[in-house]
Amino acid sequence: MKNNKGQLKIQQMAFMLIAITLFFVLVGLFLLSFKLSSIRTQATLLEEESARGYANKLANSPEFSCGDSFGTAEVNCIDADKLMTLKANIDDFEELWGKGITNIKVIRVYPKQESGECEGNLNDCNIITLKESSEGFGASSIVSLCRKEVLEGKSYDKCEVARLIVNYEDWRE
Amino acid sequence: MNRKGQEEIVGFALIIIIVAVILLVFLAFSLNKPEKEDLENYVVKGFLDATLAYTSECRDERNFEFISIRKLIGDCSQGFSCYDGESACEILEKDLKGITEESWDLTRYDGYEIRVLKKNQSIIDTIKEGNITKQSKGYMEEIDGERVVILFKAYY
Repeated sequence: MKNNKGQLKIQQMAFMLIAITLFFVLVGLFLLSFKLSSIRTQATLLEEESARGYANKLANSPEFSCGDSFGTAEVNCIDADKLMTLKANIDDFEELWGKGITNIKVIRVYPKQESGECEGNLNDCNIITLKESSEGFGASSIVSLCRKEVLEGKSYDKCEVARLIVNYEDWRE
Repeated sequence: MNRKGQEEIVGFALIIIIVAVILLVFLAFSLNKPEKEDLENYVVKGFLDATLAYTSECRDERNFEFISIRKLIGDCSQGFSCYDGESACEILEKDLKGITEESWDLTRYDGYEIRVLKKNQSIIDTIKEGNITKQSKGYMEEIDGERVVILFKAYY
C-alpha cells in the first residue's frame, strides 16, 4: 500500500515536471519566433531601404538627372532623352549600376498614355525599361520625367509625372 | 487519495493545453498580421515636387508657353485664364486630381488630400480620396513667396 502511494507520488511529480517543461518550451518557442520575426522584418526593411537609396541615387546620377536643363535642379528629375539614349546603348553601361541592381524601369503615370514599351518615340508608350527582373527587393519613387518638345518651331520643356522602379538584390549572399 | 491525485494531474494538463492553444493562436495571429505600407517623408516631398514641375496644358497668355503646375497655381490665385480662354483654376484642379489618382494606390495607402490655399482660403475644391486615418505624412510648399500654399497629406 505504502509502495503504491510512493509510486503515485513519483508519477504525479513526473507528470508535473513534463507539463512544466512543455509549458516553458512553448513560451520559449513563442518568444523565439517573435524575435525571429522582428529580425526578419528588420532585414526586409533594410533591403527596402537599400533599394530606395539606389532609386534616389539613380535618379540623381548624371546619366539620368535633368541637372539645370529644365529648371528642376532641386527635384528628382529624369531626363527622358538621356534615358532613351541610355536604353539604345544599354550594353555599354552594364557596369554603371553595379552588381546589386536587377531591375530599372521608368513608368509614366500622368498624363495617362497607351500602355507599352517605348522604342524611340516617347509619345505613344508609357514604359522605359533599362534592366528587367523581378528578383530582389523593389522600391519606387515618384519623379519628374522631362524632355524637350517642339511646338510651332519653338522648343519648350515638357515635364510629366513618372515612377522610377528599382529592384535591388544583395549580391554578396 | 489516488483518485484525487489523478484529477489534479488531469486538471493541470488541461490548463497547460488551454494556455498552449491560446499561445499558438496568438502566435499565428501575430505572424499573419498584414504588413502595412510605411510612408517616408521624402516620398511625399518627391511626389509634391514632381507635381509642381508637371507641364500643364495651359499656355501663358503673354508668351504662349506651356506653364508648370507651380506657375498655374500662381495664375489661378490671381484669377488668370489660359491662352485658349480656359480658366487656370479648372486646369489646375483637373491636373491635380489626375496626378494624385494615378500616383497613389489606395490599396497600399488609406487615402490622401490636396489643398491649394491663398491666405488660408481654398482657391480650388479640396481633392480628397480614401479614408482619413490617424497616421499621415504631409508636405507644404509656398508658391512664389506669396501667401499661396499647396498642401498634400497622405494617410496610411
